[in-house]
Amino acid sequence: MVRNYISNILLWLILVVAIIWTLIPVIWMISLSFKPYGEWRTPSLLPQKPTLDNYIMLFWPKSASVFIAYTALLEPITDSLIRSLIVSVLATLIAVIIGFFTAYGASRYNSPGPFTLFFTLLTRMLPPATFVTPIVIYYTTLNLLDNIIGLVLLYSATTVTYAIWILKGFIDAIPVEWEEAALIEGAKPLQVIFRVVIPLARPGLVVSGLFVFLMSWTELLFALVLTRINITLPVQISMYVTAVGALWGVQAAAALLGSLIPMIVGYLIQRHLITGFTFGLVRG
Amino acid sequence: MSNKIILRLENITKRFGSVVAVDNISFDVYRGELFTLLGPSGCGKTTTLRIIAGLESPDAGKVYIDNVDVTEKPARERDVCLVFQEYAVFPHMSVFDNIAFGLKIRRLSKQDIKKKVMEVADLLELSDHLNTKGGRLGLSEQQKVAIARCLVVEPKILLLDEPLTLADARVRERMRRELKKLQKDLGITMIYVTHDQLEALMLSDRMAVMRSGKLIQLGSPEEIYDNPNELFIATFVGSPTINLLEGVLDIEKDQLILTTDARKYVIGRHINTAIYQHLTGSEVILGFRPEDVKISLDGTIEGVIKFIEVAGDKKIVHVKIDDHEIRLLADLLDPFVEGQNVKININMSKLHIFDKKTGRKILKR
Repeated sequence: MVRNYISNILLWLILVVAIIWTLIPVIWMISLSFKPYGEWRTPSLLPQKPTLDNYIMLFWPKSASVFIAYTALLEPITDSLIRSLIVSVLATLIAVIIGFFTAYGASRYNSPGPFTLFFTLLTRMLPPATFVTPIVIYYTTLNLLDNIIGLVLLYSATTVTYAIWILKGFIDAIPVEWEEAALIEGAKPLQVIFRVVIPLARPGLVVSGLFVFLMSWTELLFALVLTRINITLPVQISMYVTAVGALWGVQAAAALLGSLIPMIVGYLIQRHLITGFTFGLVRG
Repeated sequence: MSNKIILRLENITKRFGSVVAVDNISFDVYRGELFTLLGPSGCGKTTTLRIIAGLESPDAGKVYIDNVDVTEKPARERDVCLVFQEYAVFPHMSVFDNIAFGLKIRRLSKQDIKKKVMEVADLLELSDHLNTKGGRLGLSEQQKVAIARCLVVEPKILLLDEPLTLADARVRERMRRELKKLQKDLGITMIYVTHDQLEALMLSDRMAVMRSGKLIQLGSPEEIYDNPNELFIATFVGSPTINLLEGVLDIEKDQLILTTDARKYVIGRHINTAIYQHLTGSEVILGFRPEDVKISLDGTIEGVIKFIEVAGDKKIVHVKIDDHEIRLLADLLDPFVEGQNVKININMSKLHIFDKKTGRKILKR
């Protein structure tokens, strides 16, 4: 009994430490976003004089009189927010659709062959920085620099690998008898995919979609190199640390705003994430 | 081709890599019968079924359904339906949608779909479950849904792939009865795959026994049980299993003698020597079913009762004869005890004689 008690306490201690370790930066970010300029470098957890100045600076930089020295530098965050949304949603759609059909072929027909499939993963094992130069050269030739279409193409191309591998796992788990049953009932191959495979692989589509969305949403390196005016949210966030000085509070506010969207998306789809594995099927 | 024949397989061969799963088999299935493919696992029976369904294409041979060559046709154009071993009820659809699936694909009107689904659901007592999701059904409901889904599209042939293996013994018995009744009531042609010989014997109008991709015997359950043409079938079909004695046959006076490693046994007295004359000196395996052996005072072979098992109104008596053990059926009330010295008699009219080398039956009755 006593041993049980002690191990319980230990477990709780570890959990509490882990939670604090993960959440402190987030809490700090929230707190920082409400602190006025003078408090940015103070260690207090709660703002002494909470203010919305940082948020005003995000959306209406020209009217944020407090940060008058910087206003000329910065655009309102809304443009980059919308751009990021467009880029991430499009990249997600493209990567998941291509990923699904590739994964289906790989799972059912072993179609690109095991090596090709592994090769797609291999390209992801290199640091992204190694691709920067060739991509810049390509994009210059193709006139895709500073163009969000360029980012969409790049993000969907780099994330499709993950979509393929995640979805292949989900499709592998769907017994082929369900597809055969549909075929026998008179369905054509595409009908089988849309009526049987896609509904059953839905949790996989959701998981891979979320994954691709987050990767595109948070991507900084390529966006920084490939865009100048048509920047995305991560680039915008990075720009609050300027040559003139660092706007820590404004950056925290922007980061908070930037994490809100994935949180909302995650909340909306959590139902699918949980019900994903409860088909209730017992095999064999 | 006669109008009686609904399905004809002609020299069907199917290989998977170097393995010949189905080896040049041909048979006909008649309209309205329950036809069983019986064989141990890996004998090619499921592959044969999948070839009929159109889920596999044969490497050679032809499939005819209703006088039409469907060998090259996809499953959806064959007018057959398959109930899978694990039922393959769509887990994300309600029972109603599961049953309606084929009708929706065929673009029937909403009213027609509803009417047909209700009819079939009524027939299979699924009306209470129509809104349940497929993934939440018990096994016997899943089976019913799988069958209902097939019946509703009114296929020419209903194929069933070991549909009862998942159920436990008691449920299986009930499902088997219901299946047979359904088949008779609707007059539908069914092809049924199983590895359970008892199931095959009880269900079939006719059955085919397969081994290693080959069809080795086709006939009524009575014929298969009573007149197996290979040693394999004799041992595979029937429970308790058939008794086997290995040795060289001989005739002395009017007695049939079997010489084994251990000694000579008198298998039968007062035989018609003309029938057995050509078998003298050949190495054979004798087969005789437990119900065709009797303990009697004038028995020809001596032995000791090793142990007795009660099986319902019969008991299975295990008699040790030298190194061999013979199983025989006795009435429950027969006064035999373990350790008793007995003599046994084999019913000569039910004796099967197989060639030791080939396993083929060498004496046709």
